[in-house]
Amino acid sequence: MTFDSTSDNTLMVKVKNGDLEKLGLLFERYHRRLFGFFYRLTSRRDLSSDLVQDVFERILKYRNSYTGEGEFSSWIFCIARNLYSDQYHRMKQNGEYENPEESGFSRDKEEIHRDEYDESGDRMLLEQALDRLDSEKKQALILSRIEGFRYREIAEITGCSESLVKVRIFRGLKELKEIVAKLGKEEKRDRSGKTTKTDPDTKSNMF
Amino acid sequence: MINEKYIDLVTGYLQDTLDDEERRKFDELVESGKIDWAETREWKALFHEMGTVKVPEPDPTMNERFHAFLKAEQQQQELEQQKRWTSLLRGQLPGTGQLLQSLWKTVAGTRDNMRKMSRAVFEIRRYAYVFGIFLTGLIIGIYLVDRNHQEEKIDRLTAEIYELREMVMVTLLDNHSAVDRLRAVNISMDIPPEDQRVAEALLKTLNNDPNINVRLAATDALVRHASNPEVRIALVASISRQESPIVQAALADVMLELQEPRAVEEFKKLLADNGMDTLVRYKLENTIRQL
Repeated sequence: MTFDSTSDNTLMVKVKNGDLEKLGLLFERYHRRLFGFFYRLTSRRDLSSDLVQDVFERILKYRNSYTGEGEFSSWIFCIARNLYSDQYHRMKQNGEYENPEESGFSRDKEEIHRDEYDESGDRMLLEQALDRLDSEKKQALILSRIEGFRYREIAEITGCSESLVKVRIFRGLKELKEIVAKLGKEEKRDRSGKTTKTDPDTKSNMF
Repeated sequence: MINEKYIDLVTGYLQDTLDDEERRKFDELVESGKIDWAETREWKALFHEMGTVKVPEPDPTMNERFHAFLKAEQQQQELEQQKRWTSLLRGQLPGTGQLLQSLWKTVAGTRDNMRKMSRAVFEIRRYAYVFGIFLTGLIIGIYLVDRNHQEEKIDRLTAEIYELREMVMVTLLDNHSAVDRLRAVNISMDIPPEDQRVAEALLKTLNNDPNINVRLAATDALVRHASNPEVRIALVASISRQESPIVQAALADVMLELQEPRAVEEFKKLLADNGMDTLVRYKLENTIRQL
């Protein structure tokens, strides 16, 4: 644990000791990253904002459990990941979960791309393909590529072994490539005016 | 197609974490065609491309929501602190309750000083009750007043609690039980060192208490008050009054810690005693040398 007075770990220890003001600094440092993480998983802006708020409420509620061991970033993303997992299960139970394959591109993403009409088609395909990956693979890829965590850290965050993280990354990329290729073909067919068939072998998002 | 048995090398390659040995092995497998280089590069490109996926700006109200939540939590924390002060004053916290209970038991058990101590205890209880009522009223008053002055009021309450502790300490120091007198010295550690009455009580204890352990504890407690010049002079004067070698040695340590040169003459007076314990003599000589 570092003893730099401005390090995340030090700030969190101060929050634990009753200096709640320091949580504001941690919010400034992490809220955008957390928002991005939740958005890439849920594709929903409102829900992502709610989940960010929930992360900090949970940090405050369980601040006495903070030990200062390891990186603070791993700890906060572990909380974030658990919250997302709870939310996902809740939504599935209540029937609120939208399967991206059935609903198409999410509304929020349509909003982004409407303003960027000349957006590279490949990037849009990649986003659609990411939406279709199962949650565990998607999380592993996002935490690795976007958030920059090492596989060991991702294992701590997601509560599994480092080997399993590598398997998810490996298979996730393999699937991503296949889905991008498939979506690319469908798009070409759409552009040329032919009817698109739904492939019965395509997997839906599952845990 | 990339074989899963090379998963460690391929995932290491994706994150650029291969060490030299692993990199060498990876290159060999690529050269031999066992790892499909074209496909690996496609995966790497895809992995890299993921970083370009855009995310909208967060809702601007997110900041406001968080800060409103934090403010509410801070207010809740202050409220809980006030409740704790109230409990302390009413003797509901374990330390204070036990202290007052012990005082009462000690007083009740002493035949000779019963009447005198009862009066003293009665006075203390009366003061404690008065303080309790006063402070309760004060706390209620504080609660109804503008919360922006919280810190000032908490400081006042803190000062009043210190006064109560001082009163208990001074009373216990007059008690016949060495355990209670020791307890009194320990209580002094929770009172700010600027308190003159506490320093005087500790000096009196150092010079007059019949129990060595109590005098030793008073010696240690007085170090906190050593920034007061009068306390330092009194500590030096106390040296020649001590007959116990243990207390003499403790005072030598204190003088060394304080770097008090005025103690040298007093130690020399002690060394004139031929019957002094050899180890203490050695210690005093050493202290004189260092001062």
